[in-house]
Amino acid sequence: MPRRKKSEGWIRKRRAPVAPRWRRRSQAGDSSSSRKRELDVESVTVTPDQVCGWCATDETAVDAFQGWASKRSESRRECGIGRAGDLRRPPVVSIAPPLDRAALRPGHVLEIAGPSGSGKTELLIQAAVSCILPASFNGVSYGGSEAVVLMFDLDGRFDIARLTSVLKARINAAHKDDTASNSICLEEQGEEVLRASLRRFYCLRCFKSFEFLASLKSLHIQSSRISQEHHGKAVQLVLIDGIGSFYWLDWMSSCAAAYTSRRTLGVQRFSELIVQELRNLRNTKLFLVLATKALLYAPPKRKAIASRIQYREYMPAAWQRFVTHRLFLQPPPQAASGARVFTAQWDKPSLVEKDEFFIHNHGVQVVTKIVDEHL
Amino acid sequence: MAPLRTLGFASLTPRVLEFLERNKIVTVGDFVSQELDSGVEDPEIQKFKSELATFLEECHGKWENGDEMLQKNLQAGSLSTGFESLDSLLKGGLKDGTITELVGPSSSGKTQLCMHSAACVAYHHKFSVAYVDASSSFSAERVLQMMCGRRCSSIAIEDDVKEAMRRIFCFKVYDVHGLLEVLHSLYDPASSFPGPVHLRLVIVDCLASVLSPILGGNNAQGHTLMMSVAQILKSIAINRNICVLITNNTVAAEDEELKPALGESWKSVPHVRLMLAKDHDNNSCTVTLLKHTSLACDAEVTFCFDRG
Repeated sequence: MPRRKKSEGWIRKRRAPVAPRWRRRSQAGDSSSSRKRELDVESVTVTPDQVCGWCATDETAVDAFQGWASKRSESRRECGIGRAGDLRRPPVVSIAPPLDRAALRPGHVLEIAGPSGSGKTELLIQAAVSCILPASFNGVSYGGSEAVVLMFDLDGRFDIARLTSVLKARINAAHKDDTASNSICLEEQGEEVLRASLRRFYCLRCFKSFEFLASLKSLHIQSSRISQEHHGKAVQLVLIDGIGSFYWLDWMSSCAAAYTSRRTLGVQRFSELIVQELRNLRNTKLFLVLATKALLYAPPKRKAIASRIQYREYMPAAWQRFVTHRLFLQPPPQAASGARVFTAQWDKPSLVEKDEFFIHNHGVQVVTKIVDEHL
Repeated sequence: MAPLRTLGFASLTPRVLEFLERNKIVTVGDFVSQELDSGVEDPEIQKFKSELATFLEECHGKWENGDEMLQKNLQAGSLSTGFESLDSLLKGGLKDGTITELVGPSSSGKTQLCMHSAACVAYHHKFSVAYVDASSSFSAERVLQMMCGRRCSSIAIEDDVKEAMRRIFCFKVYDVHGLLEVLHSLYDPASSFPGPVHLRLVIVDCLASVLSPILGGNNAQGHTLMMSVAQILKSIAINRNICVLITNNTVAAEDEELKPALGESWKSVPHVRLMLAKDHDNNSCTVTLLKHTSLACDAEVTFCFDRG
């Protein structure tokens, strides 16, 4: 707030005298209950093994605390996550960099936003591959979660060939480390693991918001069938490619609603219903939601390099409240020669460090972590 | 939408009907757009909900697992464009179920490439081609020249060339509503339009000439019409398993380079984007792969158009 002189009409507000902190604490009565209110942690019994599972392998204490502490500023009720619940839920083991910075847990919703060609679908494919691979098979460790992944392809551009090539590259990399078995057995095993992993990946294409909503509703009613097919393995990851794909079409129907007597749904109402259905699905079993969003309006190029990424939010409020984390991606500059480097910057939680990554045939590879000095 | 009563559900008992009337649900759309909290314990209503869920799944597509999708992908064919170097760049040519966009400044060879692909598909692959001409640049003589090569003469045209020319259907459109009408009739072959059989390729040349005039301004109706065109093109490509080839102009970007026209929202529509550049000194055309769903980008090839 800028300071004003008394002559400009600044009225000094008189504040009631505030007691010093030591006096306030003794006046609060039971100090243990006030402590509990501050930290808001229920009494939880945890085992040392559980505690070891909360931190990722290379995560420092500062990073872990940043990830946990960043959630305190979010609106918890909308997320459906209690503060104490964070400590009790197991962490997502299979998230690969650059998504691992924000300590994602089941129940979170990550929105990956960026202009066209910035690598959003690649990150979804990377997360899906880590999820559908088995942890180990016949003694070879593949490092996956062996869980079911559901993908809603709202863009209509998902290519199974790309998912398969990344999966094959991961399987071959795991086989290279294993020198005990012979190559023919490994090849057959690789085929078997590939097909079993692909069977845990489900994809549905939607061309309208109504189809998306209808499939969410029917999935909610028939969710037990998929878990039965996979011997009780629940859905761990839900991917939505292109959450803003139907924005203009829904906008058109909300304009047309003024002229028709039928109940037509507009952008806001569709968004509210979709968020409600996702919450209903989450009530049965918690899963992580990764959604990609294409930026409809190109961000101003010159400013984006110096400061934080400027963007124009177009998704309705219901979806914005549902999102707990946001990551921005930037494509490599067009005039760049040599390797094409993509940039990822966390907006929610707001982190200073940026990640750079390449996109190879075998997936996403993080290169260096640069500090944004302009912030 | 039809009322639920008329869809012939076996589990639609009078009690369920009463529940639906209480919640003012008449059609499937009403059921989907409402949040139903009450009545969840009733087993009859649960049975009706699961039957309706199965019905919705059948209407809007079933969940496919990755294995099935991979088998379908391996069996999907691809159409040759007529240029071997371009086919090798695209690893087979124009794939079924994809939208390929040709981007380039004026006279960079986009229409020539479209007509060459149409000629190749009609003559060599023997499939029908729907050529939607929005820029009045389609020339039957040029297509005939491309099919016959240097042996072309106006007197004696062979029968198979005649048959191939009959497989190319040209639709002239002059505005976006005409374009939407033609595309809807191509999507739904049961409509009154005399649709071609064995349709494998739909070419739209040039989209920017019908869409650029309606974009911009104070209202956003131009954007919604553009996205309706995008939706119908995607439906044609994916649901009917057809290759779609579209052309687009370029506009100047901030750093004096060329970028595709039709804005940021259009960038998420095509599966494959190719940039064309013409070298007028030696009549060669350079094609750069700007965007692909599964291949690495920035590879380029050069070829020449046969002047006949």
